[in-house]
Amino acid sequence: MKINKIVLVIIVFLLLIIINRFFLDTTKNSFYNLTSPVQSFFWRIGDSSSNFLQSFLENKNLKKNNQEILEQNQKLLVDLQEIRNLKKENQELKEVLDIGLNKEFELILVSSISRETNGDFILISEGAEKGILKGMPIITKEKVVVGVIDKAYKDFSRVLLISNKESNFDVQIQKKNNPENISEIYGLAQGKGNLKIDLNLVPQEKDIAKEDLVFTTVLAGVFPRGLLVGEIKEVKNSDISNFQEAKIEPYFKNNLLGTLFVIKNFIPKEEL
Amino acid sequence: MKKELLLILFICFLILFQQSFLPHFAVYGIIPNLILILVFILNILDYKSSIILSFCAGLILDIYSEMPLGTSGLLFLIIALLIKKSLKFFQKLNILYLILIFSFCLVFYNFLLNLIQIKL
Repeated sequence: MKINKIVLVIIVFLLLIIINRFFLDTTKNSFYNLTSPVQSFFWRIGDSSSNFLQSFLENKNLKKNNQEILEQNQKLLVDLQEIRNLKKENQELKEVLDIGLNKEFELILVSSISRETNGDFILISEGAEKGILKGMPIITKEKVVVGVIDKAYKDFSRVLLISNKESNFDVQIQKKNNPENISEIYGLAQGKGNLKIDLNLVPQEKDIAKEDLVFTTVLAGVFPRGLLVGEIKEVKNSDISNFQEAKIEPYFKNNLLGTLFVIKNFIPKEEL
Repeated sequence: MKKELLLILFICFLILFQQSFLPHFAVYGIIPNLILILVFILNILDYKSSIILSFCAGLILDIYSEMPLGTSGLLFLIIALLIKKSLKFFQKLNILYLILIFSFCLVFYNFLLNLIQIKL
């Protein structure tokens, strides 16, 4: 009887080794295919329930928030008019120079269906069959960066969120009060897990402050330039270090549940 | 056997619920690990197939994570065996003992999982 048990344990372990070595992707893809309707259902229900709960909890601050949004809206209208003028001017310049810079990203529409309990990963609804490859960046419709493809299965892909501990990439900081000063301050964004990101390697002499915006750069070749990462939540200055540190509030946190886009025509440096 | 199959279906349901519903209610990005709670309950109640069920729960959880198949399975198996062993030392179950053992399981599981993640 004891020998039978030992043989059974050995068989199970051998099976696991064989599956891990040769059939892991196929096995996972098949399970995702089988359970994706249930996962999508739970995802939708969770989304609507959390929205309801959030609106219920935030009811007290609604009036104050409304006032702030109105003020922001007015400011944005002014900004929008400026952007329209700039866009027109830019278009005219492009036509004159004929340098073909109007290439937009080639995007693949995907939706998130689950998030892992351990580690900052999400599962999205498209995979290698749609041309998704490892390393491709994921963004929201607001051009907020979400992460990169960590693994592309046949019909699904696993996304490594920018807040994952394995994620680090170069960023530019745009001063909130001086939006034109975008190219002056650089730093390194490092994922800390549980949807948290730290900002490091910002020289002490550079002035960064709470609510400054953080954008991606092409320096490390991980993301295209100008994708929004988030805003600075807290700045930590240390006398003994040559660099400043800060905490970033990632914007993708609020948009993770909706429709996402994979940038197909950006191949990271590592994958080239 | 029928009960075990129903329990495995329930485990699948819990995993899907945990991975697709609970992320919307995450506090500071943390999602509760329902499967670890279930493994703990099954073993503390000394359910007859709890060790095999714990292993199966871990295997199914591995399918929905980036870890190699068998990682959580093996960790849950060790946790199940440790709980069974600890039951022999404590004749009467009290709340303090339950909290203590569950905290240990939680720390043990997350510590080893993170360690494996770093090694990989």
